[in-house]
Amino acid sequence: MKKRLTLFFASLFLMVGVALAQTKVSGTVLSQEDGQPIIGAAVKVVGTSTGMLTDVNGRFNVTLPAGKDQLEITYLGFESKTVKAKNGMRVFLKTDAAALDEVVVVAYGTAKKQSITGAVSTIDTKDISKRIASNVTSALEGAAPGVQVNNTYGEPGAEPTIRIRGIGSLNGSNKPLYVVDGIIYNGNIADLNPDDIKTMSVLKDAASAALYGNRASAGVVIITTKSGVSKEGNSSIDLKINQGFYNRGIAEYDRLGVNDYMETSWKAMKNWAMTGSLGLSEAEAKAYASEHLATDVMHQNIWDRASDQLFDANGKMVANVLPGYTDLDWEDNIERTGQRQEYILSGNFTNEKVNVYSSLGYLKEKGYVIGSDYERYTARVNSTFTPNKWITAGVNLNGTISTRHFNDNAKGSYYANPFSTARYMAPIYPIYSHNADGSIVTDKYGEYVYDTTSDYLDNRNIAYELRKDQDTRKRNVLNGTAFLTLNLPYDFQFTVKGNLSHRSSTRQHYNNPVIGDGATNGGRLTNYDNEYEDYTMQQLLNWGHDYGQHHVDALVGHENTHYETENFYGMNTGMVADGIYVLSNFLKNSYLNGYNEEYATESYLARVRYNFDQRYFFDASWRRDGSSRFHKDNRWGNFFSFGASWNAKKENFLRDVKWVDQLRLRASYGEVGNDAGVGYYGYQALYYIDKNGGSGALLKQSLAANDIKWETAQTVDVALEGRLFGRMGFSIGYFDKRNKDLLFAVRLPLSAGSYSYNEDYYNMTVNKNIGTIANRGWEISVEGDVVKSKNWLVNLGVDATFVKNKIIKLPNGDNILSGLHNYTEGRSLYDFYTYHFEGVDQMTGRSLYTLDPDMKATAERQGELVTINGVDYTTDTAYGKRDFHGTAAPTVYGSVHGNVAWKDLSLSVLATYSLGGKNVDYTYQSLMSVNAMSSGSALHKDALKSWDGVPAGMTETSADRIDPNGIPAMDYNRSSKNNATSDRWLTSSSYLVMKNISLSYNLPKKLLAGLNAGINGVTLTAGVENLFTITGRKGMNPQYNFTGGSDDTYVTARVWNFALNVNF
Amino acid sequence: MKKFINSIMAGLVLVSAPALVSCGADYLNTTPTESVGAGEVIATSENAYKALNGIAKTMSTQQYAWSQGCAGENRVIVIYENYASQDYFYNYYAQGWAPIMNLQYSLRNNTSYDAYPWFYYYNIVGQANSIIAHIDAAEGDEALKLFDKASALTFRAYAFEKLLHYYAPRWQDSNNGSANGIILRIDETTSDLSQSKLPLSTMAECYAQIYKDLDEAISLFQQSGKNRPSKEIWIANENVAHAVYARAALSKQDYQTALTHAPLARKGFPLMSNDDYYAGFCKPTSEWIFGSYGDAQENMWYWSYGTQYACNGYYGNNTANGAGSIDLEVTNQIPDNDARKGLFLTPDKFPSFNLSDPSVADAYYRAYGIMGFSNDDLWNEVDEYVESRHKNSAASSMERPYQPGYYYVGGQTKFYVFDTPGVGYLPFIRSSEMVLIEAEANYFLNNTAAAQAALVELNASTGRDANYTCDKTGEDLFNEIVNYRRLELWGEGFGFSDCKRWNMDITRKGLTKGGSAAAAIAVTIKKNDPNWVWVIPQWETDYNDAFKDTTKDAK
Repeated sequence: MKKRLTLFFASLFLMVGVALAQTKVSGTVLSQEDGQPIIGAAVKVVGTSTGMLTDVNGRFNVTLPAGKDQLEITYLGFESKTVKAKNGMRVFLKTDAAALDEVVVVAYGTAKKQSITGAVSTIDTKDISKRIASNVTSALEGAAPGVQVNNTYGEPGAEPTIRIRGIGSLNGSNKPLYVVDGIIYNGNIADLNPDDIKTMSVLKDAASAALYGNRASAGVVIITTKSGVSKEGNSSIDLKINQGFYNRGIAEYDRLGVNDYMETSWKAMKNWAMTGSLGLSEAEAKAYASEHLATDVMHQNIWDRASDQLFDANGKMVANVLPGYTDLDWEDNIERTGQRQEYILSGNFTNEKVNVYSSLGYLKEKGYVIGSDYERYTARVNSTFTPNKWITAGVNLNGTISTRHFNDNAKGSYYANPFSTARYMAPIYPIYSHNADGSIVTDKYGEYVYDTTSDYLDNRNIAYELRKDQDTRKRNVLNGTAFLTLNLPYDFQFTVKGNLSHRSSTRQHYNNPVIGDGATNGGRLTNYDNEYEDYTMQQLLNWGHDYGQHHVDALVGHENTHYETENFYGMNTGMVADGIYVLSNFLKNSYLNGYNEEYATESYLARVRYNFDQRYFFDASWRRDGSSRFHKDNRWGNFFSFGASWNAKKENFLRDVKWVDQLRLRASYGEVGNDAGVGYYGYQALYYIDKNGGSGALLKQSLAANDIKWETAQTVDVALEGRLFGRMGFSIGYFDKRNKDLLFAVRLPLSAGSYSYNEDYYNMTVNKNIGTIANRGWEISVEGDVVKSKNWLVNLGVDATFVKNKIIKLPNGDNILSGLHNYTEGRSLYDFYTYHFEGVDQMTGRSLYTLDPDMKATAERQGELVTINGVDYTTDTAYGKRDFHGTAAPTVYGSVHGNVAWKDLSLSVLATYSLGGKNVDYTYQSLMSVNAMSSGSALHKDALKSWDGVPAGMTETSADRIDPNGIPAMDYNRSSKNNATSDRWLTSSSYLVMKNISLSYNLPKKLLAGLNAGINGVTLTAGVENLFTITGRKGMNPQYNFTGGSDDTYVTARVWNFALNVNF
Repeated sequence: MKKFINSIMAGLVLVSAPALVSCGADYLNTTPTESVGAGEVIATSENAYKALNGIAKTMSTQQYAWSQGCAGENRVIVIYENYASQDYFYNYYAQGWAPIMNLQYSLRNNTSYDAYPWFYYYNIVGQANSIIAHIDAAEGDEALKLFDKASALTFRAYAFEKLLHYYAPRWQDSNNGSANGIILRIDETTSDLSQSKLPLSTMAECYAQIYKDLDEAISLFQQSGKNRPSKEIWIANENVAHAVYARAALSKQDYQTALTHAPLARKGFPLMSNDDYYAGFCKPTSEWIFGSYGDAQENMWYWSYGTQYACNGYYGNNTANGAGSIDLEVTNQIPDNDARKGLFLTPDKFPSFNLSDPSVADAYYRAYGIMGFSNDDLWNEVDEYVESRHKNSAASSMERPYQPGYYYVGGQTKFYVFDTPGVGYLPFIRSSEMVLIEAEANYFLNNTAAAQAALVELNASTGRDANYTCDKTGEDLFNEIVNYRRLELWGEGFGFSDCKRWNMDITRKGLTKGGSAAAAIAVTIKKNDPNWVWVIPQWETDYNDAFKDTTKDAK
């Protein structure tokens, strides 16, 4: 017994065979594709634990024990092969795309795909390289079922938002956790060069993610960067050049031109004069509108007639625009065709003891709006050293330097938002100053002079400001990870891993002294400096052992993370010299502030995995997490998971079924936590430190929440996956993800006090763990080779995700109102809760809403009650009844993708879609309203269809007196009521986006070999991203956010790209 | 056996490994640097004073979730008092703002306009409550503790008193106080949700609470023997407590009480001189009892009162908007030599021009009241007048007001800023108001001579109109008090509440009809119109179970 044990251990650790009858065999492993040697392929004697890796020439020497003559040869990215051993043998391995998935990166390690019990989607460097993306996560869009990506690529340097299997958290982060090379990543995804990425694994279910316990409840994206080991050979250099340009990916809303606009506004003013305090007769009102519209509302005359002579008696324009007004299109003025260029040089080197990958990247993008661009330098060195069999150590270092010009006011109703300003600009307002004859004013150099004085522009001019103001952010990132693995006796392996990431961001915001925010103080300059520092320490102890056909492995570990920020910012005003943007050039200090933030977590983790004959797999894991966001009594949470998977193909009854290539069934259950629902100091009652009269002022900021604890996501996940007929892969999965103890900022009544600097709520809030939300659904994906011949390969795939969201439990069963949503047990949190638009009263042109019966008396007193054929309605939503109307959640979303390859030419196409669900189209609401009577504002084309008098034959009692699809009368007086927020603005958010089309051509190898220039491969690629978007309404961006909102901001860009890739 | 030992060893290693590398016990204790723990704040009298200063800050700082201009008291002054008054016109934006100016939004509980005062004053109440709840247990200087508590009580009373102006009916319509008032939230809000359920109290209860708070505050102020540092006019002191008392009593038609407190409120704050008046309202004078701080280093930018409503503020100096104008029907009843009338561009200053003559009063005059748009002579005269006003102001070293040259009839040179875009102090309570309260209270108590004397003190003794005498009685005397109150306190946030308390209609005359209001707001709002009382906003009723019938929750 003792001797056998010793031998057993000796054979394991020293990797030498037992001294029995032996045969020595040597051979070479080659790639079938190009005959090149494969370095590092594993050669194993079947039925023993003897094995080795091939050397730099693909060669191996192996000693066969008596009675053993089968060799199993495996290598990542190639199909495994089992062959009879023969001295001097040459083994050719076939590359296999499907086989690439075989080993996937999972939490704290890797796993064979077939062993995984949870839901993991993987995409690799090939998928990434097809996409024209400056952010690697953009490549996730359409790449895997269950993953939703809203790409805001329209703004250079901005990052897409991602949701995995819907929204589970009410208040917390629904952003997945990013893990880069085994370390939780708090930096910006934009700091990573997509070309450095080898694979991305998306862990969708809690069982897969359980080992990331904290913050993993919204899923995990594990990003692994490239290593020096490459199938291209032991050393190679790769050069990529991308050249492209881009413009707006979604068309603008249809808006009225000058004459239609003026005539519609005329009606609005005529109606105003009749329905408002003037109370004029129709004839008087018409005359009033003709006389006053241009002066009182528009403050503008660009026509060849006097301001009160523009209309005939019935409101038809009779004046012509003076020929000098050629500058009325603001969008045209501020948009441009942007450019994109990228250069990446990378190389790798491998031998038995060292492998190194390094790269340099340069990216420059100019956005489609003036003043937005992005420039990025990235560098990376990944190295691994294996001096002997006891030790493996490595260091990954990457640095990024980026400069971005941006506009942080490019949202909402900021004056400096170019999108809203240009979009809502009435078509009669010019960009430049004009002379009385209509011609554009020029300065002494003959340059056009911007209009910086007209009051209808509110003393602003976005075209001028975009060109003069500057907002620059420079980011320096240095990220280093080092690890050391010791291979210990008794199958133990101990790994220590450390990461230090330092990011500094400086921002300089300049406002010119002529117009805009800086005008009043002679120009102003604000400097921001933010330093971010993360460190992570990990200690992992692994153990694994095979007992015959039983395999067991276990892991225990400890991890702690610490995140710290240091911030300061200050502003000076009063610019001295033109063109110098440093604080010393601005005389007077306005403020100088600074603060730090800190966040820490600590975790213990453990995992056990077992499989029998690669046929039955079981795993279980446990993690204990502590977070500094919670009070010390409620700081720790325990999360666990277990799962099983069955590889049915290994069973006798399927082994000989030819048409089934692979078939497996998996099921898992797991729990993970989320602490992002509260801020860094979420449990603490705080006072904000401020200044008043030069002395300290403390403002009550937050209430104590000592009882809050981890929000937990529990997921049940079941799936059937397989490959049939040698050409078709499929996967059908069901999941039930429940988030319980939701962290939520519960609103108190307004009378309970408020905090002035809360941007999100009027009400004071208190953090609570409340309720449970479930996201249940199906994920289906099918892909297959439709045509597979010598020269042709046509592959088509489709995936679809059906998710239903349901609120299971709320405290005391009470509803929680939150803007346009009213969280209610049994309903989806995506459901809209608002007033119901019944239609337009054809007798008056007013919008009618469902009346709240309790408010009938008030509505009547205010003259906002209308009774039609016995039913009461109100014309003001203030007396209306709110109810559930529609939902933002799509019924199904997913992607359709295809590849066509003919010899060395290949075309790939990716489209993403979403069906069902609605958006609140606030932009459309604004474009249909004539609220502001102090200046003109653009109108949508649909305004032409607004009510314009009682239709012929209509009476008080007509059955069709209410037109449910009607558009109310244009009326400055009643516009806010006629166009109040209601379900009228809910618009279908179904869409189809032609996400990516990419055509690539590999130059024939023979041709390159003939050149004899050391070139291994040349690939030419042409592609376009976001070629078109089909939506319910032209101009609407259905992907603005996941909860059905909208804003006047960047939309996805259409990017054209041409790439050259040379491998030496 | 050995196998066993190996397994045990393996197990031990696996289990003990993490314990060896654990972090220290306080690794997960982190503290913010932008804020301090509530426990530390009201634990000492010194920190509690900073929390008082926090309440004062709340009265003059941006409230981020709201729109521009919502920066505390200034918003209430502008929207709820000036715009909704008969005396104050902002004609250029009148068409857009007419629904607010004409009181058409009061019953719409889902608008931010309805919610703002409720939000803002309860923000003050909430902070005051925390001080009141904990200060007795605090450490530190005993006198300062008493002062802190007294001041917090005064801030709370101030807020309750103001809330009643907007969300409760007139006292005389309240059936002797039995009508609903506001929510008397006098406990500290904690994370206990059930505590936030609280119904409306009656108006009688509300005024009783205000009186009680102020009685206690005055007694504590006196016990403490302390006052605020004299420059800190934003901290409530005993004078402020008396002033709020006088205001509350006036609204409650409790004239005797008003008469008790108004003189005490202005003790030590003598009425200011004409020079101070002409310096422009942007820095405290001898009679500012209570107000907010302003400085370029605590700039509110485009959110401050001065940005839009000071004659040399950003808007007045860069846009056609002007900065507000007075109703000519008020100034027409005031002698031309009154110093205060000199602050306004009233027609008497330009006697050679007849503003009813169409050649002088062009379309811009008829629409907005802008003078001299097509008459250079008139424009030059007005411009010269503004120039002379500017030279006398404290801001004479800055650029002069109304640079784009849009001069509104009745336009003001009362409010100034001393730095751009809108930097200045803002008065909330002045001694003049107290004198006017004395006049009004005496009038209703039939102390005619005392009422007359108060007017003489305000107008003649200060030199504002040195020749002023008053022998009016009865309704004439009342109208005299009304006129001088409108003139004296114009633009300072009294117009709506005064009209409401006096039970008068708001009557505005259009520019083409002899008045100076733009057409959209030239209306009459009847005193019995229900819109004088703003409805309790949705952001209260949706979250306060006392207002909710949960059986009616949508499903």
